[in-house]
Amino acid sequence: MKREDRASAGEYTPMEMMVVQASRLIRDGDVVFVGTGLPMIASMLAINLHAPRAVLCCEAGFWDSRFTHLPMTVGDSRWYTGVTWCIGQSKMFSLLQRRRIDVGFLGGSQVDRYGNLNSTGVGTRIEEGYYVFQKRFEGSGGAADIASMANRTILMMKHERRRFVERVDYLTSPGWHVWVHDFEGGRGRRRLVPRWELGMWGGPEAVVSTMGVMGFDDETKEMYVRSYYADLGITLEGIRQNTGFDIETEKATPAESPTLTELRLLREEIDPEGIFLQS
Amino acid sequence: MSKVIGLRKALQGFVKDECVLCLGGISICRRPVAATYEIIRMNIRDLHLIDIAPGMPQILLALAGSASITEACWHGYELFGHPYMWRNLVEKGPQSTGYRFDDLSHYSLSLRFVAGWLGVPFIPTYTAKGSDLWNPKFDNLRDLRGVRRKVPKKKFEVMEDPFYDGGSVRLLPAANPDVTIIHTQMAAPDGTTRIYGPHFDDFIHAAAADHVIVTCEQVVSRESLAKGPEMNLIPSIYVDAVCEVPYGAHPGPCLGHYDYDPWFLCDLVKRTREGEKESQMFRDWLEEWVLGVSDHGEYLEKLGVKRLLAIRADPTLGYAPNLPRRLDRLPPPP
Repeated sequence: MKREDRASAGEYTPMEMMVVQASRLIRDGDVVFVGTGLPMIASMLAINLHAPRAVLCCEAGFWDSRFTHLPMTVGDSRWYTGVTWCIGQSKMFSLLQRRRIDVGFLGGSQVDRYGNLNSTGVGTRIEEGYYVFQKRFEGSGGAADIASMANRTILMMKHERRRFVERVDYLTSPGWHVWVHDFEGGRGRRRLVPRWELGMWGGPEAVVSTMGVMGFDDETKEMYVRSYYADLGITLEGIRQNTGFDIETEKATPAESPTLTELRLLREEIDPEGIFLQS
Repeated sequence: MSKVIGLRKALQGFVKDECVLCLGGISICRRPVAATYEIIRMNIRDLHLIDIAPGMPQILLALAGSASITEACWHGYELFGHPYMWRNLVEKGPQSTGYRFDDLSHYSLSLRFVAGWLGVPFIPTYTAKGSDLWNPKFDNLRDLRGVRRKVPKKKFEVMEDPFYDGGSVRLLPAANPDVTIIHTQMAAPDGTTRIYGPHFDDFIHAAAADHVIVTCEQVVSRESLAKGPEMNLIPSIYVDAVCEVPYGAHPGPCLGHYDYDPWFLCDLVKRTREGEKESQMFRDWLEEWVLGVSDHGEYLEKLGVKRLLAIRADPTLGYAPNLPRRLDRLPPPP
């Protein structure tokens, strides 16, 4: 790509950078399982550019929507435009269990080095036999289902030290190595187990954060920095400081900025109302 | 035989204290909100809610003190804001609030309803392996198991596939609500129910329940619904009562009829956000829109014709294409 096709620093926002990076991870022909928000926009961008045969499906049960106005919720009537199937969530989620969903998007408040996510609550503890939280969030929704049964997942996260943690306070959505409970022993002992040993398939492919894109090492399955948003002033030192565990940065390269075409599509075609990419 | 009946009478007939209740729709969309308001007015207590991805009505039932148990995977208003006050209830926990929330995943709840629909006691799945959803320490219904009606004796059981080489599966208990309430565009007096657009899991919610109340925008004749019967989602046998409740999903959307009411939703979310510091803010809202309003007719009059026209859907698109949607700069309410 010619340099002049790329936007320069100051011409795009960090949020637009995240969406563009996520969109480039979608492959042509992928069946993409999304909720609303940035993943939906990233998928739309991919469909408009390099992945025209990707299919967008929504957890409320909309298959291959061609909406003309962005949906604001999973059950939004706007999803209905151009869908070829809108049958309901139990049937849509069963595609996950049948291994037919290629990629799912996830977000959360905490992530650990293996891509385990927490979108349930922080400061989890047991009080008088009940589980309670210091701060509670909306909850898993379909995230645990997607994380455990999509063929690959893409995580989108704000990159902060309190969010990239050594141990998540509640493991909502399983990553590469999960903490499981010794049910058979009945002692509630926790141990770290690779997901494939539990008979699970799939796993996180990347974390797209507000600072860069992280991958997972083929051998150790630990998170490492693949690229960082140099044009936005992000440094590898900055990423290390904002990550609550040791993270490898040796393989990192500066991320490629959005193209002018990507930005035009996002601003003029996909979210002209500025509903998610508010400026 | 006509099953058409007034909303209050239908609810009085089926929704009692300690009832296991399921509400159709998803998130804040096509929910039986008018029925929810009426349940709060009737002062029904100790409800056990079981729902997949609950939004505004389940939050209101928790905040108004009508529900004491919820099994679900999520609570919120999506882009309209966080579930303020509800999250405080869950943060404090049942020992101090009396309200129990137990987390499950979306698909595991769907499957529990599927088992309920099929009439079998449990169903196996691979979902959510490795998640704390299955952590035996995290079970907020543990002391009700085997004690309270319709609370399963265990949250799940693990077993090896006895037939193929499918490895270890998790068995989930069936969900059979006492009552499911669904809001839809149209139903016939015999209970035949048609849903225009996305069905969500409403058939399964209805078929798993012991009783079903359908609230609808319009009661139409059996003959109308006999044209294109494949478009009818729920057959009459499942349905006990049909109530004509126009705008019964307000402030959420009902495809083909109306869109979100962004003014109403933003105001509710704001009042609950303020309510986290000063609970009177929410009690005032509840008095203004639910307790101080005699019925759904008065609620619609209070909203006013201009508001109802502003959210009216384009019948072809199914939504209101010119609805103001920048929530950070909403114009004044009509």
